[in-house]
Amino acid sequence: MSAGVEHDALDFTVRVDEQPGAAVVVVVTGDLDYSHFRELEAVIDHRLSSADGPVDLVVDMASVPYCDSCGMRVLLGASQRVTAAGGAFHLRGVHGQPSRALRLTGLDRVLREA
Amino acid sequence: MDSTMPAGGPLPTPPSGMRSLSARVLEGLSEAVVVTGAERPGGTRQIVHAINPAGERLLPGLAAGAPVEHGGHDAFTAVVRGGAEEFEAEVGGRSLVGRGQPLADDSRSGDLLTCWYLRDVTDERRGSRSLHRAQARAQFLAEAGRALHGVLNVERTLRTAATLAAGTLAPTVLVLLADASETVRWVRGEEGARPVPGEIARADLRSAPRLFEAMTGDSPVDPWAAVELADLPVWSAGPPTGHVTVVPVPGTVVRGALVLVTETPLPPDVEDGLPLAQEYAVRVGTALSAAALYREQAHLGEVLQGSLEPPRLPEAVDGLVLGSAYRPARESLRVGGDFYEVLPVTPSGETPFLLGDVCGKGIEAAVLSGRVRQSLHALRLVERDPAALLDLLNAALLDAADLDAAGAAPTMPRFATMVLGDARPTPDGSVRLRLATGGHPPPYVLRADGSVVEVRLSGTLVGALRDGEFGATEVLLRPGDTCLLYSDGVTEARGGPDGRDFYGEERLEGALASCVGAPAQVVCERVLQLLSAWLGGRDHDDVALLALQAPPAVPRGDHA
Repeated sequence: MSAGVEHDALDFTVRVDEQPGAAVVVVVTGDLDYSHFRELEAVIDHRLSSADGPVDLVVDMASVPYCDSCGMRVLLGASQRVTAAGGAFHLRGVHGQPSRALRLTGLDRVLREA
Repeated sequence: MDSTMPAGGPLPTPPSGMRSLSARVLEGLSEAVVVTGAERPGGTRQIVHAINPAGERLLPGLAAGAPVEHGGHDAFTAVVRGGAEEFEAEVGGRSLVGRGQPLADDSRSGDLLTCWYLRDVTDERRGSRSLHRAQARAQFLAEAGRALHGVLNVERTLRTAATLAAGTLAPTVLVLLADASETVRWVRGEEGARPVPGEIARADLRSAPRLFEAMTGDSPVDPWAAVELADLPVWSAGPPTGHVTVVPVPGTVVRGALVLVTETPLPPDVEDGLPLAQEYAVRVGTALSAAALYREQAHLGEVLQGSLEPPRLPEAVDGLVLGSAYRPARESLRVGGDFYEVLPVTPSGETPFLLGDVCGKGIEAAVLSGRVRQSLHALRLVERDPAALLDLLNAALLDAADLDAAGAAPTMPRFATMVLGDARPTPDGSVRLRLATGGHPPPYVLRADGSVVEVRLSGTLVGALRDGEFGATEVLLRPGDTCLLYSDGVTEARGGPDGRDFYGEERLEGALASCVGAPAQVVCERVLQLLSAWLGGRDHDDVALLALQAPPAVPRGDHA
């Protein structure tokens, strides 16, 4: 889980890339842990709440070196919400510790790579 | 000057026609003009030779022909006698600036007249003074806000509040704070001295009902509150001498009072009098409330941490050696949900155990961890197989989450990871472990020969997915073998030279290998010690370790 220090807060960003007709891509940079998961949660919640119909969502994890149980909650919650609304949820670029953590928890079965 | 001119005569006679013109010009001037000069040639007494209406308004009492001192404006009289060229004077409560211009009088004997041009700058000065004071006020409040903000410690906030106010708002300041407790804390600040803290029992305030009301109510402060204050044991050298003003310190969590002791009464209608003290009190109240709230939350965190802390292991279990270590996150509000327990031996001879981790932190983690443990206690009554237990627990947690979410907005999933199982010592000194996992790092086995192997075991999170799958296995611990269950706080602890590296599985395996021959409790403590060295004082997540060991073949009495 997190050993995050204060300055890490500066190193965490969430960016949303949207192209018409394509999936919404949320690019996360930094540790997706207790100190930061709410940011991603808020961004995803905002995007999904403002959607009229189903949204296809991709979370780009290529620049996420660490994901703790809080981070996994956000990903799992987003996946459940997106699929319940008829959209598709995928991860992209998962590697390192997050990849091991998803395998260990069995979440790799539901949070699949695009 | 014409010595034959009667006293009270006007200016030396100018050519006819000019006089009325210059008089009219002077009358129309908004600037005050006063002409003074000796009463007679060579004389020392100064009389007013001429004065325009603006001058009469500014210096009432001065009249043409009358001695200057008859005007009663001593400051102006002194200026006239001194013959200053430029001056500023306070006359009758007004601020005047002026200059004296010698008037050459070629028709006279050489005695000079002086024409004084005077301007009333009272309003300008007041304006710039009040601007200056407003700036000083704003600066004081801004500095106070900065100094008080973010202290997040009630005692230090109180001290800071008293120190900042002492000398600025009043020479002596007392800040009183009442919260839900039975004591009222106070800090006395005196200009140039260290603040003095103290406490009075809330009951003692019974003798000071008006003061108490000032602290707890929104009603205007009763002047008697100041009288009551004198008798409270908060003054070093007897009751304060001077004027005592009580200003309520408003707050959402705590209430208090700011007491100012001043030489003269604090003016209620001057901006840097009472209003400044009131504004300051608002800032103090905000800071104190924030500090008190933080303290409450931290306390809540500590209580939660206490509730999350694993119970003690059973004293002794025949044929099984136990050890454990737990190191909660340093910040109590970040306490996560690591938990473990070893239950008493069942009638059928198994010792159930469990080590897990719930997602989230603080109160949420505490609630979930409680739910997990209580559910398991109940489920164990009907099911003993570890994997089947996890299946039931998974369903129970998901059902509970559905109930929680019924009718509400979609909530974040709540789940746990854990390894659970039971241990059954066998007659030959071995221990047979049944293990199952839900999304938790698999345990390690340290063999008596020093080799370390990871138990092959995998499963999904518990409470996250309806179709969760929970792997199970059996492990035989031969005498001297140790099985170590751990939370991911171990492998995901970041440290090392640059503080960014995970402790990781390899280092944990190495640490475990170095524990060969050690009793279970020592194994846990040594792993924790090596982990601490890796962390090097950095913050970390919860860490939990549970070791199960088959007693060594030749008991040396070193069972934990």
